[in-house]
Amino acid sequence: MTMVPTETTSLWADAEWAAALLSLIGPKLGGLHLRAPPGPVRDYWLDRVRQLSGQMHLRKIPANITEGRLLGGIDLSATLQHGKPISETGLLGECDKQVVIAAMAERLPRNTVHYLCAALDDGLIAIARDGIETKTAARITLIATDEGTEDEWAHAALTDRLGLSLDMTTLGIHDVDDECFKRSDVERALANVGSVIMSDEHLSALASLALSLGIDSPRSTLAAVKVARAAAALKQKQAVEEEEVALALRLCLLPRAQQIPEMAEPPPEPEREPEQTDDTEPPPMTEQSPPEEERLLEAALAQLPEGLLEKLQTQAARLRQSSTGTAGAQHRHQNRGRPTGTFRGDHRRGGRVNILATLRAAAPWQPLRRREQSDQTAPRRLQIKREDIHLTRFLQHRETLTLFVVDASGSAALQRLAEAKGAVELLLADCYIRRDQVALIAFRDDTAELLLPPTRSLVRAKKTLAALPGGGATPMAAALDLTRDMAERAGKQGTTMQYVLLTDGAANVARDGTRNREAGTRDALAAARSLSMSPANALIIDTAQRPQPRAKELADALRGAYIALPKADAKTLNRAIRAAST
Amino acid sequence: MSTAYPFTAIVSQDDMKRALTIAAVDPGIGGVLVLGERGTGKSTTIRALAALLPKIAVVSGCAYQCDPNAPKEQLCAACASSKVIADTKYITIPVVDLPLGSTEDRVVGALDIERALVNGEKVFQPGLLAQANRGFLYVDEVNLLEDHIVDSLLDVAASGENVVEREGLSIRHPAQFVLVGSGNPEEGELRPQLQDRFGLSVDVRTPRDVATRVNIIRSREAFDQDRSVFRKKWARKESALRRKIQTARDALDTIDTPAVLLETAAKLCLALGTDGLRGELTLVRSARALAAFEGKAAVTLDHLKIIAPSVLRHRLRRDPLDESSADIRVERVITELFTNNDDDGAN
Repeated sequence: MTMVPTETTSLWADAEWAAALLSLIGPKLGGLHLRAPPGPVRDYWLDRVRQLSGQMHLRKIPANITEGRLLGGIDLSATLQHGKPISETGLLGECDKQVVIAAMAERLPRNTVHYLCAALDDGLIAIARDGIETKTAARITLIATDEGTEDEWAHAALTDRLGLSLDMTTLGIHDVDDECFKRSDVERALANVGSVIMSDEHLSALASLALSLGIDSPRSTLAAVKVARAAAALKQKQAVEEEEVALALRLCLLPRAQQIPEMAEPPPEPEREPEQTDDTEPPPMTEQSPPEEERLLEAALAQLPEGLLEKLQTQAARLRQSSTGTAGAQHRHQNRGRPTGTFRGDHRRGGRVNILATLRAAAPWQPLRRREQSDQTAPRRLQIKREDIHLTRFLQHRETLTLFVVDASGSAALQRLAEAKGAVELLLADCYIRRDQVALIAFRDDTAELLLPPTRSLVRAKKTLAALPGGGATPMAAALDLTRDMAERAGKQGTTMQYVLLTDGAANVARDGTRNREAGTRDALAAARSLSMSPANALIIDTAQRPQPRAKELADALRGAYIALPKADAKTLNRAIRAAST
Repeated sequence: MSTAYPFTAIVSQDDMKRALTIAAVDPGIGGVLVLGERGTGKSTTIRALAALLPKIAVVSGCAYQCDPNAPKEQLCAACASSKVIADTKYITIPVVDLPLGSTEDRVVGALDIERALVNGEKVFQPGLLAQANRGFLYVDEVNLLEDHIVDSLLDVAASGENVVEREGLSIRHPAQFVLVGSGNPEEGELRPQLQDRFGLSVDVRTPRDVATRVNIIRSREAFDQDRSVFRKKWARKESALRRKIQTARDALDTIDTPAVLLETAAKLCLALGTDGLRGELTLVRSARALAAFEGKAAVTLDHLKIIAPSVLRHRLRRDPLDESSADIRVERVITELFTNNDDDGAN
């Protein structure tokens, strides 16, 4: 008989649940986002998926899969052999109704991510490429693994479509516990899963929990509801009970939390109503009569392993960031090396032959060439000449430009300019490694100036920076306007730009040159809003001795990441910058 | 199409539903752009529209769905040169999906390679643009579409004609379609040229109240449980809406457009500084389509007011100082303009 996990839930028990749920209603959930380093725990868990799903071989989607192989397209050898286009099914079509693994999902190119999303949405693959137009069923259950390192995350569009989420980064091999389910449990549950009842209270509890956790997409809630039902079916229950709701909360909603709901803070502080703490009868919580969902959330939170909440918090911050900050850059990356058409060319000079375009070019000549052929008895064979060869045109890798916007005004310069310079120098070294271009804008007194136009020369950048004088007023608006010009120029050249703004946020020169704090701030914020519309990533480093809200306000207007310059050496700052700009 | 989610079962998102319905009533409006976050039901709604579209008469056997009653210059070469009166059949207005990653040859059409290789014939194999003629062309993730595909789309959408000059072919065929695009602006920006081509644009957001969300989940669950049962449950509403759209299409030419309406539309565009006449024209056309859909004999200022944000929000000249508030600007001008009108007693 089944050993069902009891009240004391462990992470491994949840992992067991996830494996069973995937096997039971995988295609309906889309799949699972697995954060785990490669190792025995992950392998063991994947084994459990194999056992429970009854699918002994899990296909893998490598990060470098080609579009043609993923979606299907023209079968090269068959096409050449038969002289007419012959299509082959892609990996997604072959994996219809199967569990598939996308290893290292954080490395998947943007277009692969979108094909996976399309398959998860529609359960089929529609293609219109290489002279073929078909629809193939592809009801896949996707396990997207990412390695669980700090700075790399699978794309949000993909993880949003995966109903379950599991973080096994903290699980060691000694945490691996008993097996809770057998294949027969899954098979038995299959018959009942459709008839499990879920009360309106539980349903709205999940819906409002999702809201209070800041989860916008209804997909996660829908998945949670399905998980709750399926979990009840696995336990051979007729109706969803609270523990299933808690499980759904843990597996579907909490991992996607964008914010910590207020009531998740430790129970109301005694100092709020100190005189009432003595009354033992009504604890402060009941005064606000917590609705069902708060109680549930609390229960679920209490079951969480220690330290997870903090992790959630940093994760939430990162998610917020990644949903705005890096969007432009990610979009750009999709163009890296994507085929964008064909051209006539010589394959011996390098380049990939586009077989279809080549055949098209050769086709009209076939009767003529056959006639020209001296030996009429030779088998009818395609005659392709060198001038028929077409190559695939790829879009080149985009350049990246890192622009440093340094506040050299009196208020900023006095304190931290030296440190800021040190940090920029370290960042420059980083840019050099990545072959990025760098540029430098400094602003003080009346103007902002492009001291260093985009360059790869590290030496020049260093020299310019070292010679940067400090002092004077802060023409923030002018600096931001200049940054916007740079962003526009970069966009036109097809360069991805990011900028690092080092300032204390104390703008005091207006656009028209008048020195006035109020007008300066107003113009700066206006300029910031306008700059925030550009796809350039922003990082704002507050150089004030004591960080004040004005720089944060500016960072918000720029929709950029914000870091207060820690009272530390340049190396620490550099670490902070690297962490924030991922 | 029987597996699509019913249009009438879609919870909230009234703006999007209205814009799509209007485009179905008057295809001349110039397409709909739907932008919004993940999971707002953008593609579900657009695909659901297909089930509501009325039937049209086409020349049977024509690859471009030519209209048997259209003048010669709007027909494809084969239909135009045909001497005999064509057989007519009725088909549902096509909704063609343009999948992400489509190659140019499949979009615009190309040499039929099989026939070329086997028989040495030079025959054109029509692409998605041909299939979409007189129908809808839906581009999901329109913001992620390859630039060179976007260019051909824009060109064809503007001229209503697809010209193919490749592989020794020289073909032109009618390609008039309603372009419907959707995308998540967080994942990539839409080129401004493309944005202006859409007649209407809507921003969709996820509903924030629990009741609506519970509603969404309930109906989505019911749909996933058993699609055909769910569709049956909504069949009556679906066919009622289908009839309403058909009636509106037929009535479109009879709708009265008072002079004050044209004037207000012009004022509105002037006040917002939109470029060109396109905004004004679309404003009037969509207000008229809305009136027709509501079964009214004449367009009123209310129709204009309802539709104005969708028509104008993506046409505003970019003001670097006031960028984030396109909707607010439209609303402000509408409020100002309509308060004045009320004073004049024109409403």
